[in-house]
Amino acid sequence: MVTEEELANMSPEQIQELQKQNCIFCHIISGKVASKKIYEDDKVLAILDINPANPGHILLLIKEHYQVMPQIPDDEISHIFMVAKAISHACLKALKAQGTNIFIANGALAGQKAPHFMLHIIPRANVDGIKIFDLPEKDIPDDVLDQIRAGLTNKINELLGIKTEEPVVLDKKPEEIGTKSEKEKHEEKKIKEPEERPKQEKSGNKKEETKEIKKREQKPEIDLDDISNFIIKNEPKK
Amino acid sequence: MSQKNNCEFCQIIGKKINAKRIFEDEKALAILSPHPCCAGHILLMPKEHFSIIEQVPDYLIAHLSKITNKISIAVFEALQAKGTNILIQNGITAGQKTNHFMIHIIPRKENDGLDFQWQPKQLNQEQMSTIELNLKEATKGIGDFEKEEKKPVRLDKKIEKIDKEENYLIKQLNRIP
Repeated sequence: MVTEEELANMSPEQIQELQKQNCIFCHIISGKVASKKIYEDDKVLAILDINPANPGHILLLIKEHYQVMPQIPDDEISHIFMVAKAISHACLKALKAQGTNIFIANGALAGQKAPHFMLHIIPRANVDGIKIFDLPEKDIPDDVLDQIRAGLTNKINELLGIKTEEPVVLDKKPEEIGTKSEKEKHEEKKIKEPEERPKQEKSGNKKEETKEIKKREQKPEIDLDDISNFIIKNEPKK
Repeated sequence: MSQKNNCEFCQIIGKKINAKRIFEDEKALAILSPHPCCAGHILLMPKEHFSIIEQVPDYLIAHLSKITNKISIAVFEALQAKGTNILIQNGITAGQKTNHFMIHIIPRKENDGLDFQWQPKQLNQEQMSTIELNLKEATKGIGDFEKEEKKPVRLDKKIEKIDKEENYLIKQLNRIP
């Protein structure tokens, strides 16, 4: 096994590689460990959980080794949720389930048991005895909620807002415009917007930020500042 | 229509009922839950009224999931949460209490009184194999995801045309002995 000293000297890539080597779900994905595979494509793998909460409990895994959700790029997140929707539908159809729970645990404290990100799809029946997904209700003082709301709103705006000011994209933009023919330039916005679309799909690493920013750019009627102003204006008065 | 008019969350979206909004764009709204299971319990919903996930178009699911991830990150950073749970209740049997599809984002802290641990059920090999076969059959069609209709479709076609033309040119070239 690896000593702590060796660990300290490792690069992040090496550590990630080590985690992969020790990850049971990475072994399942590569086929070294047998599993009951339900669905597979280039990004995700769905298998039956061997310790199911209910018959038909499915684990939907991203093939790339991510520990928690914040590490996952946008395109993989949206792909896994679209597959989850389809599998949830398959559970209703094929297992005659009366409902499904789609569940993610991020962090050991939230009930995550393996260091590989996964999404649970749990088919439900009327008398299955599972109570954990019936959310309880608690009384939380209004001022605490207001504080939380303010903190979260700022953070979300910051997370999305910083990206709109990314200099990388501003530098990139004139190039893109420059590559267009004169005719296309004259055709203005209508053409400009979809022109960017196929490109962003192809652009490799920057796809996450660029997608986000371009999304914002394509929807001029939505402005983050407007949203926060709007929220402030609409704050319920006591 | 009546379902929509009676929906608490459609009224929140339409600003007829006050709520603590934390994120909004033209497709989605995130609010602090009016019936929280813990401090910071967030509901993310599409603005259009859908009852269950099956009705929600794929592209909207994709959009919502990206925002879910962003909110989850914000929860970690702004509320110093030690973990998050993302939960979709699909159907009354699954614990769904409202008629409006939504994603729950639940910040977790030590001793918060929440528990999402399940008791594993024992199934024999035969039961597992039956489920496997049935599900495999039902998931065969997955992969063709619904895309949002873009307003100007013309250019997409244009690009396709160019590709075809190129292919045609290449084919022609290939014919040269």
